Amino acid sequence: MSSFSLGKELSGILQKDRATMTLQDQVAQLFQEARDDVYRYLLSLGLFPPQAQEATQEVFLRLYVTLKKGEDIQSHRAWIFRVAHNLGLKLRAKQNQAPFDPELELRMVAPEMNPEQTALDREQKLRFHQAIQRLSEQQRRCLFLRLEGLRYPEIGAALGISTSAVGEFLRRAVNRLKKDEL
Amino acid sequence: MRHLEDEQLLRYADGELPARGVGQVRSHLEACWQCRAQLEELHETVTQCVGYRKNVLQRHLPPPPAPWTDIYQRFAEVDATLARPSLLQRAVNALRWPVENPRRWVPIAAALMIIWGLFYRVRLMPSVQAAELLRKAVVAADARPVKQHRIEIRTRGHRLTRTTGQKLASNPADTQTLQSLQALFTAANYDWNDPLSAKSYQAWRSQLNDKKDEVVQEQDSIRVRTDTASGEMKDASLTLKKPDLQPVQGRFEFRDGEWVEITAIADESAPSTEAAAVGATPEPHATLPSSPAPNTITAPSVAPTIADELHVIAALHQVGADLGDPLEIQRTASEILVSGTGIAPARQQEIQEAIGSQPRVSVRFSNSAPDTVRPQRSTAEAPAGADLRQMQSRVAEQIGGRANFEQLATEVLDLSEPMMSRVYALRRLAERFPADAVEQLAAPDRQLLRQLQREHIAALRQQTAELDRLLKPMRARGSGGNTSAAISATTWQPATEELFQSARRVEKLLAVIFGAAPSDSADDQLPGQLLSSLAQLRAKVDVYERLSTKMER
Repeated sequence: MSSFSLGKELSGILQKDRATMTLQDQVAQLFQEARDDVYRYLLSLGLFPPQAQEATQEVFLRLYVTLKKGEDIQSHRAWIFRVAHNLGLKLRAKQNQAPFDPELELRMVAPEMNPEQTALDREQKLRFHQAIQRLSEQQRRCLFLRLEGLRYPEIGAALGISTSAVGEFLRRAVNRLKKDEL
Repeated sequence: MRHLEDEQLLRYADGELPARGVGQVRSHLEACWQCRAQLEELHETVTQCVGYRKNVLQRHLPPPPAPWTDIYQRFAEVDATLARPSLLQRAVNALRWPVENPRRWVPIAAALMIIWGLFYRVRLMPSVQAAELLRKAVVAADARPVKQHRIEIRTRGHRLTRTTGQKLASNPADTQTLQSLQALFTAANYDWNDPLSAKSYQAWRSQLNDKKDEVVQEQDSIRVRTDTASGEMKDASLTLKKPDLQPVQGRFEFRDGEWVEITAIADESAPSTEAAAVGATPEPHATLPSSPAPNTITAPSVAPTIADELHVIAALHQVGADLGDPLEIQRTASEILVSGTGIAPARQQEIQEAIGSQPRVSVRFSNSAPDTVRPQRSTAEAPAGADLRQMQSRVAEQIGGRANFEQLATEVLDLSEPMMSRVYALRRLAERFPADAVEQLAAPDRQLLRQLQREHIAALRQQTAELDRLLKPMRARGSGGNTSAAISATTWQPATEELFQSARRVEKLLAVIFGAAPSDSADDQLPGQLLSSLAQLRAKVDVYERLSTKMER
């Protein structure tokens, strides 16, 4: 028996196992894996933590309903972030207060939060954070979605812009970060 | 030398360049230190971004204020809501539905029409069929030379023969029987002079006020049966021979319980083909198919060409039937035979519809276990060895933990199968269309072949780019895979085999690393081998594309 055929067999068994998972299990697994990322992305859009947490659950429930209806979703992660993005913007528009500010700078410099960090480390991180803050909103969104593993067309679909525009925003973002770093 | 632009570099690093661009960028990078340094800087910025996500966002953004709720509970609530819409909602849905879903109500309307069709067929259709069948049988009989024929008559107590039109039999007892039968038939308004004829049957049937018909297809005959509540005869049937619709048997039942069976006695002087030569068209045969084997399409036999075969493959491609369905295509002297084994009925129908319009093609499905073209998977399952587990742990560590590894395993193994389907499809094209066969193809057919290749290769390129992206975290910084594509072939057909071998290697390594299949190599070398095999495969995809483009010229 060749190891090739055995390999195929095993991968077949693994795939079959996944295929036999119930839909609820599949979505629950995705929820487990991605909820923190979605929650943080929603915070970055300016949602307050309780709202962001509720919206995160809402996204996965929508995913469940969509899959239950038998719709075919190519990349679950891309779908999740696209829906999270749209839901996040909608909720923020309804919000009657200024967007949530996580006060990252304060947290970053608080020595008790970063006991092992040297002053130099801290300064570098702070500088990079400030550079990120200086990016345009679209540049930052493209960058954050790219960091979450989305491909250019998927980012484009989430933000409602073309794939080439995504490329251009990312190029500018990376260039600015590089320059600010120097 | 024109240097690479930033966006080109970024897209290259992100696997977002079109294939042609990848080759160009890669060769430029090999030649240009400046651009390579630029790319390195880009990677550094990307690394910083990843670090920012991990050390700033994940660490300092406030955690969720409450524990995550049990998502299963929420699923149950969703299920309950989906199952019980409010009365108002249901009313609104009922009104909105046809307007918003024309695509859905059309099939329902079609289903209702089918139900009506079945009703029509069961209740009304037989009458129409019977009338039409008799009309055609009468036309056919009128077209035959007028001739007396001999019949055999059986009743409960008698059996005799008679020549139609003659009222007397050869012996007095039979004559008496004939006379009483004549009285019986006359009372029932049925023409006794020629009882075994479509015309007499038609005349009797048409004067009935109340009747129910049935048309039964048999192998070489059609039987029409009519029963009625009016008149002395309660039930009659006439069997017509195919294809000339000559009556061969009639059975008549009367209200008093008598029955008469009349059978035509073969007229040896008349050649059996006589009737077939007359003008009557055996249309009932066409309108009432005697259920030919439903999954066989046969077309006239003219030698099919390699172009016909290409068209069949292209038609199969339209429904994705060239990607793993257990189908075999054979071109013989008279037809192109598409045979499939163990294919689900719905899929059979799709395949039938896809290639049904192609000339000189036969489709055959059998239901025995699929006879896969793909190499068989062995059935034994081997537990992962300790070395393999260690290797997996190292990979997991490198990419940020066991959960990431599991996620990655799921994603890469899911990609492996469709990737191989494409490679097998390309390989079949290379087998079916060697250089001399391509020579025989006209320009539009070559374009078609090229189109098939292009679609498979585009999918393959996208799948391998996706694999590359997924496996990126496994790559130690600075070490790219070996990207030299050592395809020695100069035409696409032999290049396919090299592409195939390369893809098989990637598939095998994926199964070993992520599916824990046993391997011959030292385990710690496997991740490196996978990355370089994948790089080679991607390069071979480019070479294949280049070689196959030559065909267009």
